[in-house]
Amino acid sequence: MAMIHSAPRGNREARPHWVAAREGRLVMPFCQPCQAWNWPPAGACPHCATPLTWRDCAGAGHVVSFSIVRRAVQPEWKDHAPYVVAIIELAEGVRLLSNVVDCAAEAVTMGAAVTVAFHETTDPELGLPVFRLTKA
Amino acid sequence: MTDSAIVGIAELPQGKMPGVTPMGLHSTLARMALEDAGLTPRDVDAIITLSPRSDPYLIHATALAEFMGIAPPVALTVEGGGAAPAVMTDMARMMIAGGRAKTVLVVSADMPLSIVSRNAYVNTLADAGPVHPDIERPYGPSVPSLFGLCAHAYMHRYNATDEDLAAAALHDRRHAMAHPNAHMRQPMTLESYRATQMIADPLRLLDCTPVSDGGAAVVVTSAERARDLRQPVVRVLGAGFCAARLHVSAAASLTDSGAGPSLRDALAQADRSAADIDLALVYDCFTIALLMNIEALGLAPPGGAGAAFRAGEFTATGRLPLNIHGGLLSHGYPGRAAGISNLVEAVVQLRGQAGDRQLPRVETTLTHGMGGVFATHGTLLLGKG
Ligand SMILES: [Zn+2]
Repeated sequence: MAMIHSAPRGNREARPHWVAAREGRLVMPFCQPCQAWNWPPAGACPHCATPLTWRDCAGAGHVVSFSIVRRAVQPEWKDHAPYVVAIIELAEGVRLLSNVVDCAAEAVTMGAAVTVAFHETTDPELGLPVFRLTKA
Repeated sequence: MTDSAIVGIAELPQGKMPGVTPMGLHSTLARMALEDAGLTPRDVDAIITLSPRSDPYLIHATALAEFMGIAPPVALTVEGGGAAPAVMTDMARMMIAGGRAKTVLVVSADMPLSIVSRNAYVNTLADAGPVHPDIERPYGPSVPSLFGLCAHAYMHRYNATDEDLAAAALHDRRHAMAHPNAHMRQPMTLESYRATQMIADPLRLLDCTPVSDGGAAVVVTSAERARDLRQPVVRVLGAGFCAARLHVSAAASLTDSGAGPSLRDALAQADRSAADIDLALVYDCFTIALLMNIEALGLAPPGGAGAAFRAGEFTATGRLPLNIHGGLLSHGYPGRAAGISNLVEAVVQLRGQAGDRQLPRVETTLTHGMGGVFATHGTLLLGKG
């Protein structure tokens, strides 16, 4: 059963990311002039100050690194350990921190191919992109 | 620039301090450090503190002045993460060089163990620590798991194993056992290290620091005035800082700690070379932090810090004595104040007051501090009078 995550803060720069996730899309902030991703989102490009646009990503990527949390610290996670926190690099070249879900924690490997999935949160307007191991 | 010197220091045994209050601890350390220098609280014209997690105030340094019954014109509470000892010492230098102050009291202490409780402290770190409150927190990363991401990437890149991580923990513990102020002094072996539970793979319990009550105080004045005071003169030769980002999500590399430029700039300011360093105290909130920081500072080749530990290169009699006070991993981790003991050990060694631990030849020391998950770095070079 997919867990209901605590909602992310919905009134900050990342809001379009969470709203799109609720609709089943993975969007990341992109600077058109620089042709560069910007994550964590800063609102405008830190290099050229152009307002960022939210661009769709296909949702395929790989595990750059991961850790298995055996001792959760945040209350809503206490009953879910062990779980996997990972740095995912999307095929489009941008990295984000997320979870690898729906598998044994020990099944995750460095470089493993993953595909995005979307979890609900306690805020009905906001979803959370997570990742599953891609079936061979 | 008017040269500055560290003329007073104070440190108490790190660990659990029942019956002590955070302000009481700050005040005691302050008075001890001033006494060590042969000065009194009334000589202080600037105080710099950190805001302890165990004891929040609007302006902590001013609250401390009030508690001590003094009214120095300058009282600053800074936020510098684990790089704070270098930040505070450098601020003291600048105030002395600029004529703003003559006697700067730096107090860095916290009581996460007795006042907050270990578990509550670890929980606050997840919410107000290095975790990004928007884009990381929803995924439940613990602080050890953020360092675990780096450790896993490091092991993958260099074919390193848990023996490399253990080598750092074992080194620190062996040296802590000889230090009267160290928190963790029971023997550790590779077997006992491996027997501890995984906290956030690949990091076990003994890859993480303990949580300690503790901290230290330091008094800074001009090098000229230092000659008339009680202790052998220890000069601040140079300081260097660097920061590339705050959060792991923004890290360009998970295996480069990024500490290098802080040492490069400190060496340039001190007009010294890396070969002049006789003792290094390197920030190590986790074993992986020690390995990566040592390598980024150029003290071991990339991927080679674990092997250097195993070869004994960093022992008191090795090529470069390093963390001979036990490091944060075993000397102790006093919350916000973590890293100040690196500075104290350097001063004790430069003065020649380390007793059984005293190194035969110490002219120049390196003390490094790190804020966040390899986010900010502050390096100080101290030298004999
Ligand atoms: Zn741009």
